[in-house]
Parts: sequence; structure tokens; C-alpha cells
Amino acid sequence: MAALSAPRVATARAHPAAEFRLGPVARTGVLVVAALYFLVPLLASARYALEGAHGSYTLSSVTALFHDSVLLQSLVTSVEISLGAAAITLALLMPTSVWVNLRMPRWRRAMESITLLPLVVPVVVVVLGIYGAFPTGIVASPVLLALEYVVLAMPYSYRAIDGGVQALDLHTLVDASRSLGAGWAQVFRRVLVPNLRSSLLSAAFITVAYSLGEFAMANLLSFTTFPTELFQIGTEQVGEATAVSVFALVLTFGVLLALSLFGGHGRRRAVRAGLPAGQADGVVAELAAEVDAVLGHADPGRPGIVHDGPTMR
Amino acid sequence: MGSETGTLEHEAAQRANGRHLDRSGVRVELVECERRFGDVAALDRFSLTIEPGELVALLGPSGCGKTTALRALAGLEQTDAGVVRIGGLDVTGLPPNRRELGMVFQAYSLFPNMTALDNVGFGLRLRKRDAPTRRRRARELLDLVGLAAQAGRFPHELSGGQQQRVALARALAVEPRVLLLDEPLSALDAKVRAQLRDEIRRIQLEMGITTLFVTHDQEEALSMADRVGVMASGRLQQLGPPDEVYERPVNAFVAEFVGSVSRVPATVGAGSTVEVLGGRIPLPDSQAAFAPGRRVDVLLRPESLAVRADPRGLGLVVRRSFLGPVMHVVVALPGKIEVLATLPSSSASEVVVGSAVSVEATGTPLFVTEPRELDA
Amino acid sequence: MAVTRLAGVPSPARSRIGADRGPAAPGRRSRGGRPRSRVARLLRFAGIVPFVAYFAVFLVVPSVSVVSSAFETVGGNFTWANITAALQGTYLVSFEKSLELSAISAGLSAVLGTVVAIALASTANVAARRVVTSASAVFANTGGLPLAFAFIASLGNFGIVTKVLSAMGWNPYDHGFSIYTLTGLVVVYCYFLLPLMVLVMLPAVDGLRREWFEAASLLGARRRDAWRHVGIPVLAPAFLAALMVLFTDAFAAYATAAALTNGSIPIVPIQIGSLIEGNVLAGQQNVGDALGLGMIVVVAVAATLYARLQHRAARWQR
Repeated sequence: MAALSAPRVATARAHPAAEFRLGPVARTGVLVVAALYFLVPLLASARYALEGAHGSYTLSSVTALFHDSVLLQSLVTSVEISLGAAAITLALLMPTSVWVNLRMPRWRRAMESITLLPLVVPVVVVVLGIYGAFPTGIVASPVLLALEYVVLAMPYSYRAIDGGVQALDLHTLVDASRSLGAGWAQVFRRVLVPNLRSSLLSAAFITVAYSLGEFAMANLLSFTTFPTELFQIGTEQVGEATAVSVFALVLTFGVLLALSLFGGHGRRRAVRAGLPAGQADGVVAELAAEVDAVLGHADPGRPGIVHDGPTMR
Repeated sequence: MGSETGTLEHEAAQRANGRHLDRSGVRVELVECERRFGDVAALDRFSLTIEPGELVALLGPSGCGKTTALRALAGLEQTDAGVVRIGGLDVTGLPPNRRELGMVFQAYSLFPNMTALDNVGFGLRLRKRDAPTRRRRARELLDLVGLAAQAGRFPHELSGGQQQRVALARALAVEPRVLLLDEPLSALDAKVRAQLRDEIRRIQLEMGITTLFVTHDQEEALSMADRVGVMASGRLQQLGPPDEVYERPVNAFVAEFVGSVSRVPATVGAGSTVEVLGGRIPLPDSQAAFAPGRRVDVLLRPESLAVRADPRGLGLVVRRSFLGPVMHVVVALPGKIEVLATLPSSSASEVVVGSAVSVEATGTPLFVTEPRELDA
Repeated sequence: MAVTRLAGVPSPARSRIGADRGPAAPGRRSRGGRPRSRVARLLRFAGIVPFVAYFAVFLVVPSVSVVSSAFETVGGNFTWANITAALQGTYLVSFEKSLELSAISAGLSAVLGTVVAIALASTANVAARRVVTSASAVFANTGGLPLAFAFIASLGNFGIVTKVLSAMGWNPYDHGFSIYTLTGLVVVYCYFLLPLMVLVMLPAVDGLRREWFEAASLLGARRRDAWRHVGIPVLAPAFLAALMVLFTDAFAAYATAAALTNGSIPIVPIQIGSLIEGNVLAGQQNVGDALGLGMIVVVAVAATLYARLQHRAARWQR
């Protein structure tokens, strides 16, 4: 009735269709509020980190940190650990994924599920188990962190690699190179690695990012890594710790942006998952789809999206 | 305004009481509707009246505004100006959910989370009918479209053709005043398309429901519609029965868009004739007023061109396609002209690709028009 | 080769020969097929042995160790004592707190994240979408220390937002708010859970077809009817899956709480952490394992519950 009794304006507009979308006012409102929630803490940390006497700005807390030899040493340790973890990830997961796709394709889904398991066991629980099951000599070496990070980042890294491998015409590539006389080592080095470069890169990136930021395990196993040292500083000088975290955050943003811009494979997978192309988050979104697939037995290619009938178009 | 609403609501009430209205449909009028998207006029003072129970097909190239017209009628598209009337009532300001129309979309419109049965019963559910009634009616309609056996299936378990049948049943379940079909067959393959086409028409005639059908497929439009409206640039170019649109186009656009024609340069001769391809044929009755000596283009149907094998002929056969009883032959003539002719397959044995032929115009040209500017 | 192919018996041996012979070998399809002999079947698993071993050593062994230690005394004898202890007093409270924290923050993030995803899907501005999705990817991975510091800097006792609000005459700390409480943790957890939700829901929201709404509308549906009967049911499977991920994520999170509250809020991960760090009462050395087992059980129960719900919500997808 309301629609009818309203006086008809000269233009006589019909009502727009009901839509799932939000109107311009509502959507702008929602997005602005969300942006505030996400940006205010960031800006606050930046402000906090750069705060000098009497409201002035100074870089002193940032520069002070660069003269902190313990922090720098911890950064070196963290970088070493993360590079180690990335190297092991590639060496372990790439041949595994290739093998699974080549020789046991029926197990592809099972493998995807297995590599999700690290999400089910909380990190603190893994630490408990390490103390309980591993000899003390091993637990004392930071190498253990690198080894564990490979597993902890696996839900993300395996997907990155496997996505690339699945996108290849593996049989043809392998058959062709073998027919030309290449041994398996050569097939890997000369054919597969170059073809999988972007997937391998993003898997490495993901592992490095995870390892650089991981705090719980490093702290509970009493290692001094960059995050634990940051935590240590934070207990005394919050301003400086904040400065470093802002720095770290900006760095992460840069890496992820680079990933989203250059991650060719990410794009392919993203399209498959029904995402708009060129997003760094393909992995994250797929994870949910994957969890869905494992627990709800739905198809992993569709994260809850309805796909159209099979025969139309 | 108020009283009009009253009538509409009254009608709805009658319907709800089970007192069936006259099933022969209602009249639909779009009057001087305007709709612009930036510089493009999707509807340019577009007017159309559909008589009760009639099926009108809007035909035109993509972007001609036919879909906008349908959506304006549905209330899904805003109009900048103009009036929409359904059954004599102004519904211009009414939202789509109160217009009591049924619509079948091009594709993908079934609710994926409901079975075929629930899809069909959805409109009745919104109208608060009880479950048994809903189910009975939905089954009736699924039966009508021949899908009683698939009632429990979800849309993704149905083929494209089946999905469109369910969509049709769903649209009809609420006994809409008007049925809107927005290219409902274009996503289907040819065989299913032809079958469903006949079925839609059968049901439409049976129910006597006023129907607007939008398509870019002229065969569909000509075979199904009571009247065909040809649209271009937001305007209705011609509206009439299929044979009239096909045989007596009002302008060159309609002539060239509906059916196949060849465009051949000609000169108007004395006594309402035109000289074309070295022969002389009469001008169409409606276009007898061209001054003799004027250069024109004539549009000729394939059946008005006679092609004969002739070693001294100026034509060269460039393509030939066998269509059962007849053969389509494309002939290149001097002056970069290509014409399409139909000849009986039985007499086409010597007309092979690469052979020389003579081409002659017979009968009356479909349309005579200004010569097309020749490209440099 | 031709004979084998005609016989139609796929065999791994043939596949290997095929691979050796080169690209023309038509044995490709059979590799996915079932091998004939048991040896060959086992050989097919050879390539993943390193992976399986690695995975077993670094994830399965520790997990199993936790589960078994939970039922053992320090001396290695069977006991229920750890479990009993874990279900009493502070430990029981910590489970309650953990569940409360993760359920509230996951639920809140799930709902708000869906709203943001819908808002985002509604804009035609590709650049804005791209920025927000990239930013979401960053924020979703932001947990831990930087996040805690950022919130201390803004909403802590002396945080900038706190200062601004105080200057405007409303100090949140005078009104019962504190970033160092459970409520505070919820606010902080949403910071990384909400973007995750946006990332997961965006494709699902994009999958909502305009035609569904238009069709519903023509059948007489108002906006809310269309949402209720079509929009929400269609989004439900993705929503549930995401909720599950969010819940586990929040439940397992350690770093943020540790850095923010310095262990003052006794959620389970923090309790386990403090047990690991040696704050153990005599005779309770293995209580940590019992708590760990408890966490695994909670995740498993949540997963089962989820699978049940999902089974109903996604009925129409199968």
C-alpha cells in the first residue's frame, strides 16, 4: 500500500527489484565502519611507535631497535629457521604432490584432507607432545622449529603446491621428457620445477611468513626467535615493540600484495574456487572449502556456492 | 490511484476466494516508456499493447531494448517516464512482488536449495496456502510440464530443459495475470529448444494467458507468436502477425532482420517497376511512388532469385548448402555483391561451387530502399 | 601395447613401460586404475613414504603422546587422575572461558564478516574489492603479537583511542571495559577472524544470483522473504564451514592472549602454556596432556556437530 499511496513523481519510477545486494548507503556504511575497526589500531600503533616528547614524532624507538643486538640476532635466527622450513617444505611436498597426482590420483582428496590435520591439533598441544615424545637433545635445537613449521604451515603450503601440480598436464610432461631421455632427476629439475615455479614460490612464501610470525611454539619451547624477543621487549617497552610490529605488518602486507600480483597459479586456483582472479587469499578461502569437503563431504571445488545445473550452457 | 489499487486488491481477493477470473487474460499496455542508460536509449518512447490472451514476441538484436521492455513490465527495471498498465490498472509504481506476473528467465533462476516441487510451490507458500494445497497444485503443474517424476529433484540434478520446464511451472503456479518469457530457450540445445517451444505455446493457448516473449531468435518468434514486434534502438519498428512482418516489412531494418534477404543495387524504371540484375520486376504495392531513374537497393528473398547454370553468366557460385528438399546457393556477382538464392535440390545438380551462373530476379522485391553508402 | 590395450587390462607394469617408451604410449589412463599385483599396489605408495614418515614423526607422534600421557602417571602407570584434575577447578573454568571466548568471537565475526562480504559484493568498484580482499588476507594472518600490541596502543589503558574517548568525557575503563579481559579478547580476536570470514564468504555471496531474487520477487516475495527462503539457505553451507574454521582458530589461539593479558585470563592454551613453562604442582605433571586431550576432543566434537549441521544445510548440493 505504501508504495501505491506514495504520490507518483513525474518520472514514475518502478521499484527496483529486490536484490541480495545492499543499497549504496548501507554498503558504504558497513564498509566504512569495518575500515575504521581495522585501520584505527594500525594507525594507533604507528602513532604510538613514533611518539616523541610533547606530541612530536620521532623515529627513535625504531632506530633504537636496530641497535638491539639481541633482537637482530633473533631476527637472523628466525630468517634461518624460516628459510630452512621453506626448503624442507619444497623438497618434501613437491615430490609428494607429483607422485600422488601421477601414481595415486584416487588418493588426491585423501591427501588434501590429511594435510589439513595440523589445523585440528592446536600448537600448544603439539608442544606438549614434543616434550613428551622427543629426546631432550632434539628439543634443545632450533632445527626442531624449522622441522615443525613445515608441518604447521602444511595446510597452506601443500594446497599451494598441489594446486599448481593439478593444473599441469603432468602425464604428458613427464612422458614427453622421459621419451627424450631425461632421467627422473632431470624431469624434476628441468621440467617440473620451472613449470611449477609460481606455486613453489607461493608455498615458500607462505611457509616463510608463517615461520617468521610463529610465536606460541617458539616461546613454549624456549627458543629466542624474532617474535619471542619482540614479546620480551613488549613486556618492558611497549612502544618499541609496537614499532617493530607495525614494521613487520607493513612487510607482510607487501609480501602478500606481491603474492597476489604475481601469483599466477593462485589466480588459476582462485578461478576454480569461484573467486575473482588475482587474490592472495585463494588458499584461505580454499581451506574453508576443504574443511567443508572433509567434514561435510561436499565437493572441494565449490565452497558452498551453488553451481549451475550440469547441462545448461 | 487509490481506487485503482482497490480494484487490484479486490481482484486478488476474488482470486484467493477461489472465484476464478476470466481466464482469457488481461490487456497489457506499455505507454511511451523511456529508459536511458547514459547515452543509450534502451526504451525510446516505447509503446506496446498486448491483447488479452495474446502472445506477443519481441524480436531484435541484442541491445535493442527488448529485455528492458520486458523488465519494465515486470517492475524489475525502472523507467524514466511512461506508464505501464495491466488489465487497465496503472502498475507503474508497483514493485514486482505485487504485480502478479509470472516470469521465466533465460537460465539459472530456480532456487537451488529447493526441490522442483518446492520451487513450484514457492509462490503459494508466500501466499500462505497450506502445505497439502501447495503440494497438490505444484504436482498438477509439474504434470502439466511433464516432470511429475522429477518432483523431488534439486535443480542441479535436472537438465537445462527440465530446469526451464520447472521454471515455467513455477511461474504459472500462482495464476499470474501475465506471463513473461525472457529468452527462456536460448540456453538450450536445438532439439530441446524446438520441443519446449511447442510446449510453451500449447500451455499458453490452453490457459489463455497474456504473454510477452522476448527473443533474438526469429524462428522462435515467428513460430510461436500471435504477433511479432521487431525492435531496434529502443523503438518498436513493426508489430504485426508473423506472416505480415515476414512478407510486408515496413522498413529495411525489419526486412533484413527477419528472414534472409539479399541486397542488390537497382534503378527504378517506368510504370512502377524496378530494373535489377538485367531484368525488370514490379515495385512492391506499398512502395510504388519511387521516381523513375532513381538509384535504389532492392531487398530480395532467396526464393525471388532464380539461379541457372550458364557458362556465360556473370555470377560465380561461392557456397552451396544442402538442406534436404532445397539448396541454398551463395552467388558472387560483379560489384562485390553476394546474393543468396534457394533452389530445389533436384534442379541444382549443375550449380556447383566455382561454376558460372546467371541470376535473375523474379516476383516482387521485399523492400526497396536508399542505396547503401559504399565503403571506400 | 596394442594387445594389452585391446585386452583392456590395466597394469602398473604397463604404465611404467608406457612411461619409458615415450609420449605415444597409450597407457596413460591406466595409471589411475587398479594395479594387478599386491606388490605393485604397495609400490604405488612408495613415493609418499617420506611424507608419511615426516608427518608421523612431527605431528602424529606428538599428538599420540599427548593422548597417552593424559592417562598416565609420571611413572607411566594408567590413571584417570589427570583427566579428573583437568575437569576441576581452574582447569574446568579455563575450558568454559575458552569455549565462551571462541564461540562468541567466532559467532560475532561470522555474522559481521558475512555482512561485510555482502557489502563488498554489492560494490561494483573493482579496485575497492581488490584492496579489501588483499587487506583481509593480511589481517586474517595478523594474529599474535603485532595485533596485541596494536590493540594495547589503541584500546589499552593508555591507548590512543582510550585517550581520545576520555578527552571526550567517556573513558571506557570507567565503564567496565578493559582490553585485558575476555571482552577485550573478543574484540581483538574479531580482528583476525572477521577478515577470514570475509575471504571465505565473498565467493559464496558472489554466487548468489540476481535471478533468484528477481524470481522470488515476481512470485510475491519481499526482500526479507527472499533472504529467508533463498539467500540464507544458500549461504548456510559456506557459513557453517567458515564458522567451524573460525571456532578452531580462536580456540587454539595462544599468542594474542599471551601477549595481551600476560596469562591473566586462564583460557586453555594459556593454562597449557603455563604448565609447560613449569608452573606445575607436584603430581600433576601430566595434567597438561589431559588439557591437550581436552582441546582435541573439543575440536572433534565441534567438527562432528558441524558435520551434522552441514549434512542438513548442504542437502541440496549433493
